[in-house]
Amino acid sequence: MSKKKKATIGVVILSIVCGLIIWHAVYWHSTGMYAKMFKWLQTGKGYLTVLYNLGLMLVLGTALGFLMQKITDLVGYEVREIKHFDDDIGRGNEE
Amino acid sequence: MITFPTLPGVEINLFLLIFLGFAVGIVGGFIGVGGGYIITPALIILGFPANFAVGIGAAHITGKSLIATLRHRQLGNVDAKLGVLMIAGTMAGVEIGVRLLNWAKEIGIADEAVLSASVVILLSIAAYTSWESTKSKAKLDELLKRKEKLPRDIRLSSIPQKLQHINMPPMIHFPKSRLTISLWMVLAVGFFTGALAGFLGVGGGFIRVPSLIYLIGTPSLIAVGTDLFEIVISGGYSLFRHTMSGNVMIYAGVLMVLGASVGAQIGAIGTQYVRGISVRYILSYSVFLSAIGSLFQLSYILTGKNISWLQNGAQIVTFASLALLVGMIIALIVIGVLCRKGRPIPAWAESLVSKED
Repeated sequence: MSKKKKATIGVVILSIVCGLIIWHAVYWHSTGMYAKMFKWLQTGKGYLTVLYNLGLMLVLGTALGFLMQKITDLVGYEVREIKHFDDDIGRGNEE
Repeated sequence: MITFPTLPGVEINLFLLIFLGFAVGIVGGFIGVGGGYIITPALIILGFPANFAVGIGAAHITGKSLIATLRHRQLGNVDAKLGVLMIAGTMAGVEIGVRLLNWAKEIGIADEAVLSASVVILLSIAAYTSWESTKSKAKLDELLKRKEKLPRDIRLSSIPQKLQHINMPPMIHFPKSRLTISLWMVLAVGFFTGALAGFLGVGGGFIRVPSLIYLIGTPSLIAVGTDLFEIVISGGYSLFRHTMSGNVMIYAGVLMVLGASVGAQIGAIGTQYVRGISVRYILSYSVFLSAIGSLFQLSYILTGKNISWLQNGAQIVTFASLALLVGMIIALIVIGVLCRKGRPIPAWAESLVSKED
């Protein structure tokens, strides 16, 4: 499979994942679910809110991060590893 | 406009939130900081109560740092081994810093102590970074005049060499950063920066990045990626604590992360086009502007909170500095791209951008 085809499939899948997460966030905000979860913090169910917030940010961050990588692959922009040392004559201490 | 049922009376413009995430994403992705010192005052200006501004900032910082770390990993800017070891020291330091802050609160000097410490520390970091970067640039310009090949990174501080020579087992080798240093030095630097961050109530990226560069001896661009990697964990911990305290409106955090997903890419990919010295210059300006903001806030408190323009001044400085930093970063990236394409660029910028990957 070519790199571009792989990137296209990646973009489609990750766009769906990100879209679903965002739709879910908008939906829960508009239906008042987030407000309900906020009140859980004063009850025994507070740990669910904590886990949800952490999980949401980690999943959304990861999905968006990989989506952006796939988008750059798709548009043909090559992100190459930076050569930190090959031409490095001044590693800190030449004075 | 969006409203929050748990925050009656707060109405926030949706696009402003996304744009704020985008702008902070550019700065954070480029200089490797979470950007809490910009986000918190900015969210307060937008209308969030202070405690929510901090909590929402923590949510945004966690998501954004993860996005930026993934890109920096691809660019080879993340020294995960160093990051993981430093976190151990940082977490212990944060705990001590928070306890110190609570003690300052108990004796009634918290605001004055935090802001005075902020101003002194920020100005010291800004002054040193700026001085060192200017000297390094002069050295690069000299090499350029002699038509010699320029290194990707050049630093004139001798502190890392001294610390690396302290032979206190176990000595750890970090292949990514190409340095060998005592584990205790790494933990001590992590502890020191964590304690300051805990005391000042910030994530501490603007203290950790210079520490990684000037104390540990990490190349500037690796310091950026490694710090972002650390922020994923420290930011996640902060999000955990703030959610428990009821300070997080997660929906606002999600919207900001959407903006940051694009901004962080611009900032992170931008590092590909510049030399380490550019990151340090932007860092020094960022820290200096942040110190000015704290100085306004400190003056406001010391004058008995009677002179309102001092508080407004702090808020204006926050937005102005964000705009200025974004402008400078984009200008550097554009010059870097032009340089790669072989187009003419200003002579002063030749030592700031990199022709090679």
